[in-house]
Amino acid sequence: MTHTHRNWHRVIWPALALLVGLALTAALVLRAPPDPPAQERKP
Amino acid sequence: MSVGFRAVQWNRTKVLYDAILLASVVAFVAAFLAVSFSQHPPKDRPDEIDRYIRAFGTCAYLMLTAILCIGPLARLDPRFLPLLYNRRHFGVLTFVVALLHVLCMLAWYQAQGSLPSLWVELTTWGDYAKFIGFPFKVLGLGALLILFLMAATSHDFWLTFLGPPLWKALHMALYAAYALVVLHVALGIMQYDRSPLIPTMLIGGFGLVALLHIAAGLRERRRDSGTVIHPGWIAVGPPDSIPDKAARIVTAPDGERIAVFRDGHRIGALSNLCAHQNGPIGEGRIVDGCITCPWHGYQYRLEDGCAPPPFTERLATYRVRIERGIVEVDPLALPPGTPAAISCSPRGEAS
Repeated sequence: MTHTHRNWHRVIWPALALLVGLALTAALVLRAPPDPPAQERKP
Repeated sequence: MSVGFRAVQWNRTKVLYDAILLASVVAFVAAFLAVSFSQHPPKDRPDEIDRYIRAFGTCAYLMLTAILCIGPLARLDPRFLPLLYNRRHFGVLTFVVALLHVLCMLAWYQAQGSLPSLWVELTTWGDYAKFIGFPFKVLGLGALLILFLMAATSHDFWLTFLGPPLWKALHMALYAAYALVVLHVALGIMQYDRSPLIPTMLIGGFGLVALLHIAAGLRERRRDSGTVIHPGWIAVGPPDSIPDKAARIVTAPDGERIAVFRDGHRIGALSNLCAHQNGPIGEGRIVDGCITCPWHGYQYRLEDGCAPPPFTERLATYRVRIERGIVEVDPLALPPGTPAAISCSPRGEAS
């Protein structure tokens, strides 16, 4: 890897990783809650 | 073909690599389908196709994760170098598996007679302003496009035509493809399927890639910062500090790396960039009297950085001297192929 590639790699990689990490966290947090279990019928 | 292109040489190692790769993909997809079908038998044809979509999608994600782990792993431990040897075929197979994932998705719409609704899904512009509800298929298609471009230019012809620096820069787009795939899964199937396996796979894969890159980066940074520069010359250390038939890597003030090799009493310094794919030649060894790149085995003479005949590749060399028992390198590169190696006496003096 040339010096230029290494510099680009060092800038791009953490920026991309941070962006993806944040988006992944947001996608997990904002996920719709699971459907509530169907209530049992009482006799 | 032109630009001095030489046909790819097939050998036993490459065939074995490809065979193991292909067998692993077939075994993974078969196992995925077998487990899925046995746990929840498909209700109808679209449900059956959906399992194929998931099997190929999961396989492609894991393959992409593995490809991105190979580079830092090989840096951290040379035992992983064989994985790097034929990584391009790994990439091409990943594109094929991703393409099968997309074709199954089209078959799913076709089986329900709702192919036009895919177009509607992709062109509902209001959804592009949403985060949850974003047309996640577009992200996957973007990643597929990048994988296609990389697979199409993976041949040695394109490497020779574009030159190693441009080719390497183009192939760094794999990071963008990986980011798109992670978001494709996070905003797609992870929103509809509550299985904990999906976030576990995503976070685990992404975390592993990130950690390995950070570890490899920190190690390289330590090595770069350890370079001592005397006026005009870079101090490498006593001759014995360079492992026999291997190299120590130093960093020039302009940031480029120089590999200082020792073969017995002969010491020579070359550019750390292999002429083939800009591989780290300084992490290689001297085999059969030639410096051998750890990535694909390209060889160069220690004396002048030239590949042995009939090959024509040449590396830039650097002047070397021994001052007060310390090997020093002039950071100004000599024209490729210039003889510059020196001999040192057993007491560590230049001769």
